[in-house]
Amino acid sequence: MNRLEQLQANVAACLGEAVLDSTIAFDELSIELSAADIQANLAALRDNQATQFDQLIDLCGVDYSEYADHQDIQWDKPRYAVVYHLQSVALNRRLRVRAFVEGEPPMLDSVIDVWPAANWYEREAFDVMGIVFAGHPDLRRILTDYGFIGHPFRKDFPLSGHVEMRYDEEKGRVIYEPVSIEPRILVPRINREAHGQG
Amino acid sequence: MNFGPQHPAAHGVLRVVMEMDGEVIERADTHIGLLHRGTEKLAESKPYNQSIGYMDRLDYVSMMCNEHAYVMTIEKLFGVTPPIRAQYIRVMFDEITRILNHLLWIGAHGLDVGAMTMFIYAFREREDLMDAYEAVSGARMHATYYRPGGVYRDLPDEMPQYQPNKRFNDKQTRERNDNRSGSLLDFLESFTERFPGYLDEYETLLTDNRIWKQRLVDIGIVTPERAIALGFTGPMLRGSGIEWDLRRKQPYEVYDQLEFDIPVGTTGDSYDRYLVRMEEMRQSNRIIKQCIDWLRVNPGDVMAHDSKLAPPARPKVKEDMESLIHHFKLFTEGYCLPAGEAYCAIEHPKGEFGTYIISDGTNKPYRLKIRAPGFAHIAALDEMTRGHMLSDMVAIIGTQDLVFGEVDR
Amino acid sequence: MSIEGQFKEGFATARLDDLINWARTGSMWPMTFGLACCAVEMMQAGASRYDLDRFGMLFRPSPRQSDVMIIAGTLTNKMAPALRKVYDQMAEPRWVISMGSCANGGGYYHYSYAVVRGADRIVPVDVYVPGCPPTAEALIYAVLQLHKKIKRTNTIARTA
Repeated sequence: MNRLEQLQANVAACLGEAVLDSTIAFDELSIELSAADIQANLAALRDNQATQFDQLIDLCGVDYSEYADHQDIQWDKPRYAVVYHLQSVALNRRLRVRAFVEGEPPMLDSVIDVWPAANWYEREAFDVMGIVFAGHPDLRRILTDYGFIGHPFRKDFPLSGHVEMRYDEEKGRVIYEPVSIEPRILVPRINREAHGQG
Repeated sequence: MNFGPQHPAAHGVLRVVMEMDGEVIERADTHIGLLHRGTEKLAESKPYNQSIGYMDRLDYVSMMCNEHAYVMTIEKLFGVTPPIRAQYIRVMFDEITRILNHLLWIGAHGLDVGAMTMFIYAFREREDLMDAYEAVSGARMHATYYRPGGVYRDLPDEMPQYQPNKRFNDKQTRERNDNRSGSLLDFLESFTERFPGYLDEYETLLTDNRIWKQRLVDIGIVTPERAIALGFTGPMLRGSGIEWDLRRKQPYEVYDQLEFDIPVGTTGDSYDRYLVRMEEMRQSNRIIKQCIDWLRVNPGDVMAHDSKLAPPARPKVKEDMESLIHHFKLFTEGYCLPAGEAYCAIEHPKGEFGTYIISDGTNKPYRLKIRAPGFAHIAALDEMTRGHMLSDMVAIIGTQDLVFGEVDR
Repeated sequence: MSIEGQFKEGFATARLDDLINWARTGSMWPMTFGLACCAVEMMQAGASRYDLDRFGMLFRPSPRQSDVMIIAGTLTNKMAPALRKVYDQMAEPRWVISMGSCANGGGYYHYSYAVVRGADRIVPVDVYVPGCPPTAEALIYAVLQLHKKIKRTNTIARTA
């Protein structure tokens, strides 16, 4: 049994039924957990002696609304997901945890009590994707502009946004105006396999 | 009190709103996002190869390392390994990039803390390394040299030469061209021979300097457990005593065949991190020497032969129909990656830099997430500066080695 | 600029103009507005190989003491008000060099939602330097171009 399969077994032993899905692909282990007990499950992954995931490497939000558009699959899962990348410095292992979040706005518990590193990552996921983290002490916008409306990395948000900025001589300050440039797609998104062209 | 966003510290755009009690900082609220350019969203609208340039511009003082993580993730998803010569070239340029980064770091840190000579010395060395970048890719800074499948082209056999002008006559020009008269490898070899001497100079200037020590010792102490919990990686983690280096623990490319040491600090203060980075420069020099020796005696391909990923050679494109079709498809649409996701991280000079790509089977990424080491480091700025004074804030920002291109993306 | 165009161009006023312009270009103090990667090339321009100090250019952190503002890097929507504020704090005569394609017209990030498509939407620009990033040599060339532009300006004399 190689390292990844051993890790898969350890994670299954630690979390038991909470693991909804566990796959090994491209030399990496990804598991899917439910959003409901995410904090308890991740804390278990951190504290369990066989797994010891002491470091949160990354936390990002994903919008799956256009995922099935160019593939021959059906997408029946929720639109938003939060993906955690965990690392064990003690045991030299990596793990990817995905939790699908439901609701509008999508909401799940913050893991800031498990790893304080999650603080700003959750702020960023809220800022760009609109996923709300319950229990986060200070959930504000971090990357986008101060009065920004919208969540930029959602698939329905246009690349060039809705407003642009320039300086107005009369008002004596910078102002926002509707975007004046046209969206331009130079290379369309295509999937060669799906259309049968190898 | 508002600190920034425009200030002379060579760190770019940072705004820190501090609550202070006299000179002592009680709380620091960091505002980032002043350089947020939407790189990840732009990458979703471009084929994979066209986003390599965005990677350069993230951490803009260590360019090729950012490209490396992105390119490795694509190769992982595609399932191709670059040829061994390309791997050695990549490792060599990664270490050159590490030296570039640490030189700018010591120059900027010295400038902030007050040792202004370091800036001039460090940037003199950087000029030589940027000449190496230019020789191999054509651009001094943003090279876009790494491509999925290898590197763009092999190392050049000659370097650009100085021309005689009004200030330097022929004899002086010949002296200036002395280390450029051979190939790029000769140039880099002469650099590696001079560099330890320069590092010794810098160390005599700073390491035992009373003022330097007063500004850095016991500033920004982070305990090992706290460092891991905060998501620190790289010299921030090694300065606190944890032996964690991705080049050793999760080796990639040819790092497992090279000899080098990993410097580790003891106390976790800024002075230890300074010593760790200085020693890392020496070790990088050692790695570059080994790579040069290998590259001299082992010619070969620098790009994988898979025509679905890398364009075929021009003579073949003109003769062979299949190569022409592959060339056409690659340059109009780009290659398609199989559906799935992958995360690949490298030991970037600042820490662990990784890219997470979710592919939906098309020629553009579905989601690209960039894990920047500076993001986790600056998130801890509040914690690290409490109880310190305002001038220590500058030293702590310097020791965290922040570059806002990667923090804000 | 307060006595601009008051006197018709004559020999004495032309010489006086030259003197003023020589004084202005001889020690132009730039204020660093290093935002992104172009800032590194600006630092390289100030370093030992391409030395800006030999042109009399001393980087000043404060806008009130500087003549020229070099906008080096991508200007985002969040940063734009700060840029305008700093520009307003500069004393006349002041010039602006827009360095790099991001500051010129949005550059590589032109289509992004968070980027101002050119610094000239916020401040008036005198010299645009193309490049991504422009090499340190290109920045020095731009500074010399700005010197030429300043030498053409008439502060005292008015051309007929």
